[in-house]
This record gives sequence, C-alpha cells and structure tokens, in this order.
Amino acid sequence: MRSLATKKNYKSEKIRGIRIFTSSFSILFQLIIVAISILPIVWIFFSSFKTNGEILNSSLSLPKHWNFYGYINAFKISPLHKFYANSIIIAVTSTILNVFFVGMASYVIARFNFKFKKVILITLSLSLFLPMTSLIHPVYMTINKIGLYDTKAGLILVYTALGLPTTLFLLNSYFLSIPKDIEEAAYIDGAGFFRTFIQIIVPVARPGFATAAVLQFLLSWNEFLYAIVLTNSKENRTIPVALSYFTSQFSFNYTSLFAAIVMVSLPSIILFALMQEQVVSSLTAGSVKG
Amino acid sequence: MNTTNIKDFTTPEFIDAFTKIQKMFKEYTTTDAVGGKYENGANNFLSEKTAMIANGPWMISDFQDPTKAPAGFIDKVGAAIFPGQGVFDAPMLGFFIASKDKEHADATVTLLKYLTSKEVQLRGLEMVGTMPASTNIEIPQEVANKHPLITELIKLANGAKYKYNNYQGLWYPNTLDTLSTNYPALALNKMTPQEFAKKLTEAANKNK
Amino acid sequence: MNRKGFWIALFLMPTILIFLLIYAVPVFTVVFTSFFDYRGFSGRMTFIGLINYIQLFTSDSSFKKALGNTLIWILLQSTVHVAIGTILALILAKKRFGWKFVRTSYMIPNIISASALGVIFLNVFNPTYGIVNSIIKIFGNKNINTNWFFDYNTAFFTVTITWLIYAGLITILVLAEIMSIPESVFEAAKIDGASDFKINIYIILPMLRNILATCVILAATSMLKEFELIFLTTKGGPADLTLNLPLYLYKTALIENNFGYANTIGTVLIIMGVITIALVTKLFKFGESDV
Repeated sequence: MRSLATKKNYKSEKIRGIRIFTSSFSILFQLIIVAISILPIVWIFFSSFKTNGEILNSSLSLPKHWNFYGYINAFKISPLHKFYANSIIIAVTSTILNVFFVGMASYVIARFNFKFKKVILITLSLSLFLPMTSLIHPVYMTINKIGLYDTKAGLILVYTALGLPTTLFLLNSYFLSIPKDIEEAAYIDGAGFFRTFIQIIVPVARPGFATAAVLQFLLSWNEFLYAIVLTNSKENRTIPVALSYFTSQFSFNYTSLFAAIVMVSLPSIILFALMQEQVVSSLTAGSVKG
Repeated sequence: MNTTNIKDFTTPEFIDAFTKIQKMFKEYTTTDAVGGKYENGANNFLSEKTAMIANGPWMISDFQDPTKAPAGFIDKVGAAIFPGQGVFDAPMLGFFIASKDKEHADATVTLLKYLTSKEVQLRGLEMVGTMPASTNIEIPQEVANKHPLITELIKLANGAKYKYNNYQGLWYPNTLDTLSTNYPALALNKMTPQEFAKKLTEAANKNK
Repeated sequence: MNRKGFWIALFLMPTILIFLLIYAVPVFTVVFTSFFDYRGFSGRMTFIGLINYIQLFTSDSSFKKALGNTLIWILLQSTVHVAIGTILALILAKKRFGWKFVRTSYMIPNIISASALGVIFLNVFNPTYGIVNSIIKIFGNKNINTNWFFDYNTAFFTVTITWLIYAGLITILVLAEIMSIPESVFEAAKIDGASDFKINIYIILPMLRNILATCVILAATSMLKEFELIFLTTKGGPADLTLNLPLYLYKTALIENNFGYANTIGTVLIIMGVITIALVTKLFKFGESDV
C-alpha cells in the first residue's frame, strides 16, 4: 500500500516537472519567434530616424531626434512616388484581372461537368509547382515579341498568370462549399449564365474572392525577379526595385535607405494586418477540403 | 590592358594587380569591405574609421554635408594621386546628336559647345565640384580659395604621368560578376592571385 | 455545342489563354531550346543534341555546387523549417495569452517583399553596425567583427537563416488545421489522462498528415524558386558557396546571354519540381483518407 502511494506521488511530481519544462519551453520559444520576426524591422524603423553617424557609432540606441530627413531625402534620391504609382496601378489591375478571369474558370470547373474537365484542372494545377524562375528567358522572349517589354501591361499580364494556381485552388474549394440550389433557383427564374455568376455567385463567394485578392495583391506588390527582367525604365518599374537606387555613389546614406525600406514594406504589413482574419479563415476552408 | 573583351587574366600585370588587391583587403581596410558597396566605403571614411578612400572630387561636397559627415570634417582631408604618378580618369557624359534636320543639329552643336565651354566648366567646378575636363583652364583665385581641395587635386592630376581609364567597361559582363563573387575568397586568403586569375579566365572563355 | 457549353468555354477561355502564354509555351520553349546552342541576341540556334546536358553534369563545377546547395536547402526547408512552424502551431493552438500577436508577428517576414527582406538582412548582418554583431558585443565577445554574409565560414549559414527560421506560413496552415479538429477528441484524450505532450505526439500529429504533406511540398518547392534573398545579399558568393540553381540560371541567361544552356538548367529545375512532389506525395500517402 505504502509503496504504491509513494510511486503515485513520484509520478505526479514527474508530470509536474514535465509541465513546468514544457510551459517554460513554449514561452521561450514564442519569445524567440517574436524577436527574430520583428526585431530586424523595428531596428530598421528606428534607424530610419537616426543620422549616419548615429547608425555607425551606436547602432542599438534610439534616435536622438525624430526627424523625417531620411523620408524626404528618399523621395529625392529615387523616383519613389513614380514607383508607388506604378506598383498601385500594376497590383490593382492584375488583382482584378486575376480574380475575375480565374474566378470564372474556377466556377465552371467546380460546378459543371464537361469534356476534358479533369485534364484541364490537372494541367492548370501543374502551374502551382512549376519553379517560375526556370521560365525567365522564354517569358522575357514572349513579352518582348508581343511588344510588351518595359510596359506596365507586360508586368500586369505576367503577374496575373503568376497568381493563377493559388487563386484557382482557393476559389475552386470555395465554390465547392457553396450549396448548389442557390444558383439553380436563379436559373429557374430565367436568369442568364453570366448574370447568375455576377449577381448570385460573386456576392455569395465574396470571402473567397477577398482572400484571393489579398494574396494576389501581395504577390504583385512584392514581386522582384520579373520586375527587373521585364522592365528597364523608371517609367514602369515597381516599388521593390526602388531599393537598388540607394546603394549607388550619389545616394549612399543609410538613413534614406532605411526610410525607403520602411516605405516599401509598410503597405504589405498594413494590408495583412487589416485582412489577416479573412485570409487565415479562408486558408482553413481551402485546406480542410484538401 | 586596353583590349576589348579580355580573355586572359593570367598575365603578369593582372597577377600583380590581384596581389595588391589581396594585400589591401587583408591589411588596409575594414571588415565590411568584402561584399561592401560604395555606401560602406564612404560611410567608413566619413565616420573616420578609415584614413583613405579612393574617390574623386565629386565626394568633396559630402565632406561638408552635415547629414553625412561630422562638422569640421573637410578640414582634415587632403588629396593625393595614386602611387606611381597615376590618376583615374572618369569620363564625363557623352552626347549623340540625333536631330534630323540641319537647323536642329546646328542648334544642338551650339548648345553642346556652350555646355563644354570654359565658363560652364568653371561654373560646374564652383557649384558642384565637377573637375574641369580641359587641362588648360585657369582657375580664378576666389574659386581656388573656396575649393582648396579640388584645386589641389587639379594641380596634382595635371602633373600625373599616367591616366587610367575605366577599362572594366571593356570586360565581358560575366567576368565582372565572377570578380565580385570571388573577391571574398581572395580577401580571406582562400584563393591565391593566380587561382583568382584562372577563375576569371575560365569565366571569360564561357563567352563565344 | 449547346448554349451552356458556349458559356463554359467562354468562362474558361481567358485563364487557358494566360496559361498557354505564360506557362505552357515557355515550358515547351525551355525544354526545346535546351538541345540547342543558342546565345546572344542574334537568335541563331544550332542543334547540338545532349551536349548542354553532358557539359552540365560532367564539367561544370558551378552547376555541381548550385545543385548541391539547392538539394541541401530543399532538405533543410522540408524538415527543420516545417518542424519550427509546426511546433509553434502546436504551442499557439492552446490559445494562451498573446497567441494572435505571436502569429501576426511571425507572418511579417513572409508578407513583405523579399527584395526588402534581402536589404534588411544585409544590414542586420553588417559587421560594423549590424544588429547581430551589436547584440553579441553587449552579451559577450566585444571584438566580434564577423562579416556574416561574406566570410567563408559563415556565408552559407547566414543565407540559410534568412528563410529557414521564418515559417509563418507553415504555422498558419497547421494552426488552422488543428483548430478544425473537433473538441471531443481532446476531451476524450484528457479523460484518459494523457499529457499535453502525449496528445500532441500521438493524437494531433497523425491527424495533420495531409496538411504537413502540403507544407513539405510548399517548403521544398519554394527552394526551387528562391532568388531574391541570395541575389540581394551574397550574389552566390563567396566563390560559389551560396549559389543555387535559380541564381545560376539567371546569371547564365542574363549576364552571359547563353540561353540554350540556361534553359538546360531550367529543364533540370522543372524535373526536380516534379520529382519532389511525387516523392512527398508517396512519403505521406498524401490524399488517401485516414482509416
């Protein structure tokens, strides 16, 4: 009897030991994760208000004065306002085109049976796993041949394509989760195919569309490789390319570089912060369906 | 050295140059020089972490810029040309005239003649510290007093025995890329100047 | 074709056209031109059979290094990276204080432009004023001046760090899947007296098989695309120490203008993508239902 009691005591002590270990491990783990994620960007943010001398001699201290010199200068060094405008035009247009066109395709694939449906779906899905860096030369040639080299339209076309697989998967699984009788009622009422899609399906699937749009916007806003390959003038270059202006001979100051980094990253961070619940819940819906 | 599209980097001149570069990396510079860009070089000099920088007169205005250098920095700087009596010749902008009719072409020529005239060269010197392209420009005393460093440099440059051109513009582009990705190996003694030269030669010969 | 058939075709048309133009035709071009000597802007092409492939696999030391690095990074990313993201998801699933803050913070490096991230890391690891050396100076070695990205001994490690530990997307995907597990499963396990640790290992993880397969595929294939973070930091150096296949392809195509050879590397990349997916699907018995 007695030995059994001690054994039990010992066991509960051991469990408590494990509990303390796991909970302190989990707190430490989370602290490290937060530190590695936000320290670099917070450091860049504070440094963007410091002078070059302060950055070089006391890199961890807070700025002595909060001046916006770096931000003002960044606009002088590079055509940042031009790049912002380009990025907005390109990201918005490619988002609308991508979500609209791929939305139409996903809808008919999810809802109707037709010849070659499986072949089309599988072929389109392959694009998700294609390393797009392997296609830089032919895509460059194609864009060049159709006369869209160094144009916004060229980048819009390529970005619309780059987001094709993600949007297809998201919207396909979203349409599958919508009950079929909604649009059947519409058809009975005599509404046409296109009208049903626009007036019935799109509003019902709005959360799916919103998530696809956020992801597509971030993709177009952040893309760098094709932006440098397919454009060469400041008339058509986008925000991620702007940072290369800050390491040349005439514009070497750290303050402006750091200010530019903040201005390049901030729109993505704000957009994600505002829309994250939406994005997270839709990703769940997509992944549950596989 | 002035051949276009160099394919052989194993000549004694190149080996000697790479040996000097290696020595400078190892003994005479900051730790961030390897992989560093202009910003690192300039900022180390402006914050007095290095004693010398190889650069031209366009940098002089930065010495007085309070956002870039500490106050009084300019008074500590002197100028010299490279050992062996050489200066690096950085060319000015070049122009092409593309006007279709004679009237416009003539007008463009007149404008270009003005832009390269003595007055404008002097003005450029006075305002932004551009080195005059012509060697026989007389610099007025008041400009000389205002820009002692540039005046000193001009005097030295005019007396130089050699002028180096930007001959890297004649290299195959991929050899320049090989150069920069292999500098760390050279700097950290993982590669001898001879091996470095061989690597560049290999890269150059990829071009057909 | 009936009326409905017409509409279906019309709805599919734009997507299929875009797919053909930007994916299908380029993939065909990549594979086709890999059998040619095709360089410069003259556009002249000479058929040379398998010469490009033979050169690639027998005498190209840069390719060997790039292939090796890419494989190591695929392996690390599909194990360590996925593990870090999954462990955090398991911790956050308890919904303790501040879990949403941790989740959002961890996503930040994943949603800002990789080009900005590259420049940020270049500064973070700068030997003189970078935050890494500045912190090490406070807590220990006062004389540290490691040039993280450009030192032979640290370059590979430093480049790897820039993506290996940032598994925010994995965390979000796995976390979402855990939260969709019915509460009753946990309750039953708790009544049986299982510890948190045991619940994680024996109950949750097996249920995550499909999402983990998705994560491994995403993580592995991302390493076949990685470009910006290397291009903006080490450019593949010192020597070829941090070169990977996408960067080598970029240099071959855009700096050497050797398109046939670049597209041979492209073909290798595409084949590696197919193999990776096939392997992971088989390994995880992906898509098969749990019985």
